[in-house]
Amino acid sequence: MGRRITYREALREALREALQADPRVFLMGEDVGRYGGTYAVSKGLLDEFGPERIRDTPLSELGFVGAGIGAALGGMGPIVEVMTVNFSLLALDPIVNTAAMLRHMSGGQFSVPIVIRMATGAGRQVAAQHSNSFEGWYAHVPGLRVLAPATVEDARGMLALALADPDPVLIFEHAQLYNLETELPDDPIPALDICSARVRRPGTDVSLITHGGSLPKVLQAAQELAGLGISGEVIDLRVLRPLDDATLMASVRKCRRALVVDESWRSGSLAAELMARITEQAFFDLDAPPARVCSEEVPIPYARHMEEAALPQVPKIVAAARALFGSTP
Amino acid sequence: MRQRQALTACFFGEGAMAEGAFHEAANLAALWQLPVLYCCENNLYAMGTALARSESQTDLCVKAASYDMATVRVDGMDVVAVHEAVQGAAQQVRATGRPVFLELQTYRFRAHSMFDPDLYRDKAEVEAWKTRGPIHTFTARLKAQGSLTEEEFLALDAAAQAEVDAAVAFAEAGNWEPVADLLRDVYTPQGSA
Ligand SMILES: Cc1ncc(C[n+]2csc(CCOP(=O)(O)OP(=O)(O)O)c2C)c(N)n1
Repeated sequence: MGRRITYREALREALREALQADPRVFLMGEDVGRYGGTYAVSKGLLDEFGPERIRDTPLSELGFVGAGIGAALGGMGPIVEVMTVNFSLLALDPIVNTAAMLRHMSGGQFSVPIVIRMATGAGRQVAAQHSNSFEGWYAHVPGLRVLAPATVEDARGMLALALADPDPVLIFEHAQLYNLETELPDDPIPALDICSARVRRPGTDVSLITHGGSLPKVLQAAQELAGLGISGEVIDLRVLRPLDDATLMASVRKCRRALVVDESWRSGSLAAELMARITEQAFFDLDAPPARVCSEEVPIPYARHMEEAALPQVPKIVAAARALFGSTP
Repeated sequence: MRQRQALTACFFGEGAMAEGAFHEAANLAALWQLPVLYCCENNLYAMGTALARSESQTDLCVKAASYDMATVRVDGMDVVAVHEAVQGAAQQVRATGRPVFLELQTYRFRAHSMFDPDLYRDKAEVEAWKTRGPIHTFTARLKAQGSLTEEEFLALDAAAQAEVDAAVAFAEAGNWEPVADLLRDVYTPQGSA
């Protein structure tokens, strides 16, 4: 039997399960406790697990991410929630210079098994400073594993795997996905991994490669393309670092055309990296240069119509995919 | 370096005071003797986080004083007291060329944002603070002093309301910014600065 569950509830279930399974696991971050979580993910967990394990922090991103790293080194299982990726910029130093590098710099003596969750992305009219998509920046850094659950199933299943990983894992939850709802089997939870990309919709004519909050848009675009006689294969990256080249290239070689959809800005983006890899590894299998749809290179505007114009949207994705076939497919 | 007589007033909440940025800036301002007026609006909550859950030392003036700067605490709900305190503090910054930390004790009546369910504090606490709302208390004081009649108050209130209504009407009647302007103001146009 299945049940309907939202992305937010799936994350909460995963947190609850992790807290129940291991007394070393704890959650800390701004407003995770009394407030119930900025996106209500941790709502109710304070009552269930108490203030030691559901720990409200001051506005001190640099400090509490560092404390989380210390806790991880000391044998605890910290899950640190940084409210949004925008504010994680204040914690770049501990994430990049400490968590990601310590194993290497200690000659393999110290792994940092920390899990850091944060919301990412735009589309809610909260203006530029709250609308960034910096997960691609983190995907630049060796030593980090970067996850982008785009489905309820991944929201439910990725956390336990992240906690079991001996190295730092960053989980990016797109703010537009929290209300996403689907049917999930009660038991057992489907077996997942945190190393592979997934085909979310099989196709034969063009690989549509995306992650996170753009997945629903790309699936919608694939639906519309099908009506135009173009069979799009939708690839959900799931893991932004390390990238699963094998799944990507298998799709690209089959479809011979590739379109990358990424909500970050195009210059120096994850989309740029994906296109470079496609060019390096599948150049001779391509029937058209790889293409991409990214956000316009402007701080994400506040006004709804301007924000919509700045972000990847279904019609832009459809048009970019069609352009790979010339004007008439 | 330009020896101007200017002063920088810097506003932030007590929640933001827990960020390293405040402490770095406070240290620099005191160390380099900069004319900064730090205005900390202490409304007791940073989103849902109460002061006592974010500060080891909840007396914010004690914290600021550790950087060797003068501090002033004032009832932020008292319009006259705020006016005097700010004037005094600004004079001190100008006279000494050194930073002053001003704590304005206040409260937030509404939720932090439209997403905030406001579950972390007592409704009674909110109501108690509302009785100290500066608009009401200041009006009452002026009336008691005989400086303001009911008619004058109503006229002021109506004028303020009309100004807001006019601003809303102006905004509602405006045109949407054209999408063609999407990339405007990312960089300063050549030659305009
Ligand atoms: C670096 C950073 N962390 C977190 C946030 C999210 N946030 C926005 S306002 C706020 C509370 C701020 O509290 P305070 O400084 O006391 O100001 P108040 O809202 O009470 O005026 C938080 C946590 C943010 N904007 N920036």
